[in-house]
Amino acid sequence: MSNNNIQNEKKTYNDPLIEMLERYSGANSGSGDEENIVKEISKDLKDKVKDISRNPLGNLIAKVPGKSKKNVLLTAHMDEVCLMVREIDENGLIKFAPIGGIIPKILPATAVTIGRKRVPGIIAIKTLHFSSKAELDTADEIRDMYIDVGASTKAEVKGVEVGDYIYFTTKFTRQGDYIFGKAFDDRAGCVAISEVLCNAPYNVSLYASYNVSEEVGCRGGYVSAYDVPDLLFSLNFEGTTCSDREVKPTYSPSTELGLGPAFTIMDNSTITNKKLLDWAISVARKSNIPFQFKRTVTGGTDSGVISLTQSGVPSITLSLPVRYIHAPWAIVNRFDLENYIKLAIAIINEADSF
Amino acid sequence: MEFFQEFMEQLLRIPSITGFEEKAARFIEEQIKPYVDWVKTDTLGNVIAFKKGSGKKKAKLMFETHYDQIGLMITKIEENGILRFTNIGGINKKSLPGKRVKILAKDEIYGIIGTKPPHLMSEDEAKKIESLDKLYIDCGYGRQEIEKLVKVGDIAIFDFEPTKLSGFSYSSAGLDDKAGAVVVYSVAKMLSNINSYHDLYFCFSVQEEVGLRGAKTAAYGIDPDFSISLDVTFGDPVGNPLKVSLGKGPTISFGPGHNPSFVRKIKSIADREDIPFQFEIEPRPAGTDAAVIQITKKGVYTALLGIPLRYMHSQVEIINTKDLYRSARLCANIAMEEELLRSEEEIGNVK
Repeated sequence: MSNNNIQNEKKTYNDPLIEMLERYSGANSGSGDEENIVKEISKDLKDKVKDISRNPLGNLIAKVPGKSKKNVLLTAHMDEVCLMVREIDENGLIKFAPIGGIIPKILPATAVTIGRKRVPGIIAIKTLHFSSKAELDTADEIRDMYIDVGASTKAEVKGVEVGDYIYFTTKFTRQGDYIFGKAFDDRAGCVAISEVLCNAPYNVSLYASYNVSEEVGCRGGYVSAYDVPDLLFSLNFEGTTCSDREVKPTYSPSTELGLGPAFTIMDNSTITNKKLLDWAISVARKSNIPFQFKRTVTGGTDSGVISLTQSGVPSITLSLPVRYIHAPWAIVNRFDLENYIKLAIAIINEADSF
Repeated sequence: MEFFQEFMEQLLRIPSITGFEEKAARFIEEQIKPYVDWVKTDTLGNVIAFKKGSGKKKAKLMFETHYDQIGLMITKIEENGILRFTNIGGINKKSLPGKRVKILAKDEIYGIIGTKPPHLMSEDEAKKIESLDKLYIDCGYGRQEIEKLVKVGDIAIFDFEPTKLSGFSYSSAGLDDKAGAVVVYSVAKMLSNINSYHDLYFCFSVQEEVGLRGAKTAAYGIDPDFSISLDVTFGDPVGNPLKVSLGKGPTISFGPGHNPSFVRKIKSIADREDIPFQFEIEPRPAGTDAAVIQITKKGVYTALLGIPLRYMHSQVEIINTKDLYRSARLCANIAMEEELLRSEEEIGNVK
């Protein structure tokens, strides 16, 4: 744990950063439907990065040459967890399937937006007055839930098709040092890469890949490192779990809000290259940027599949702690976000010393 | 919908949690004033408006609705700054995990009802719906900061944006029973340029959600001869014990809680005016303000009109605005009727 200097750290608020996070967070883009976020990112990169392309899966690739030909691969994923229309029944009720890891019990009574036509609806909840005690005590399964757009017949459901993506209707809000919104996993990572690219050039060359479909098994991640030449190491930006609000004295939360960005040492997909981890920690210390470690081993990231690409790639994940991740409303901390970006830039600046 | 759209959308945005209805009371008073002779707020907070009638055999006819809504109250600030809370009125605990609330403290403070991330949640935890005392509200802040902003006893409301849905459907928190308040307001507005036969009372009651309290004192003060309560009823498309749906007009309640001659008169007016309606059978007087109004003083001729609503007591209640307009039109027609009871003979002839 390193939380030195937090008290002394001057909190300067970089508004354009928050503004970028707001735009990225609001660009509804589920796994396989990433075009909205591609548009937002492209807007930010078009004047600053010459070499922008897409690969067959849809990863958005931005290359920035540096003094050295050695490449650092930067990755973040563009997709968010969401839902998909499975069936519109005779009564105009919409059955749906989850895309990515969503706990069903957070869904009832949530506002959603369906499809490209942004049809508003709500996820229905069985009325209290005719629910049995057992029903109230047990979470419903997604197959028993439905979305109500206010229709009473199938014909009244206009602008919704089977296969449409469904997103949480969440209003991005700032409250003091805290930012409320959705999809910070991993739009925060996309913000980090865009910021790094906009601050180029560096000594090393950058190969940035904004990946698709991480939430359904790191699909974009698998192909993101395959053709990167002279690859020095891979730096993966994530939004990670932050379970610091449970009142249990013996419990170690995965990360804590306000202690800075988190390095992953080990998760279900990878054990971080020791040399790279030690080096990254030394950069953070030298730059006086607070950081922490992710202290649970659940979950996996693109870093796992990237580390097994080619004949192996040293890979590390740097994460922004996100409370209530994979849910309609999440919270991140501005101070963490700023240090996340600062640490990213510091690591790239020092990359040729790795 | 245009007839009451502005009133409805503004009222839905003014929190009126049971016991804390004052801000909404000021709004209703101000809005209904142009259409009535006088308006006042009684000791409990019921807003009562009056329009004088000129009929020879005029009666005191009351249109009643409650305007309080369910909510939450902060009960404890924990060491790490999270907030414990309890319910005001019947909260469905399934509607809570992961939702955003607005705490109505000195300033409005947002908070999330916290849940564990899926990555760290066990299968048992995922299946179980926790009781309210296990849940918490997270405003982001630590204890020192939150103590400056929120105190125990502050109330909180679901943060849900009123939303127009497909067709005439409309979704919001608090439609139970601001939908009724929209109808009663609309009745006053519809009758504003018409000489009334009866003395009309428009009553917006408080504290229905914790036991029909406001209606009790309001009815005592007004002492009406006839009373029509407007409340929401179950219009759910799935699992609904009633055969009631959205968009088919208000329900007229039949049962011992309502005067049969008065109810049949209302039905005959609906038939005559071609206003669609549905039936609701209420075998036992309970659950709405009509039940306490009926037994006020010497007794009152009561009736109940139900506005079909989906997902009652959640933040995503849905109504059909056509049903509101039809309810108001039916009430306005009743108000213009000289004879409010159907004779025994007529009743005998009802098919």
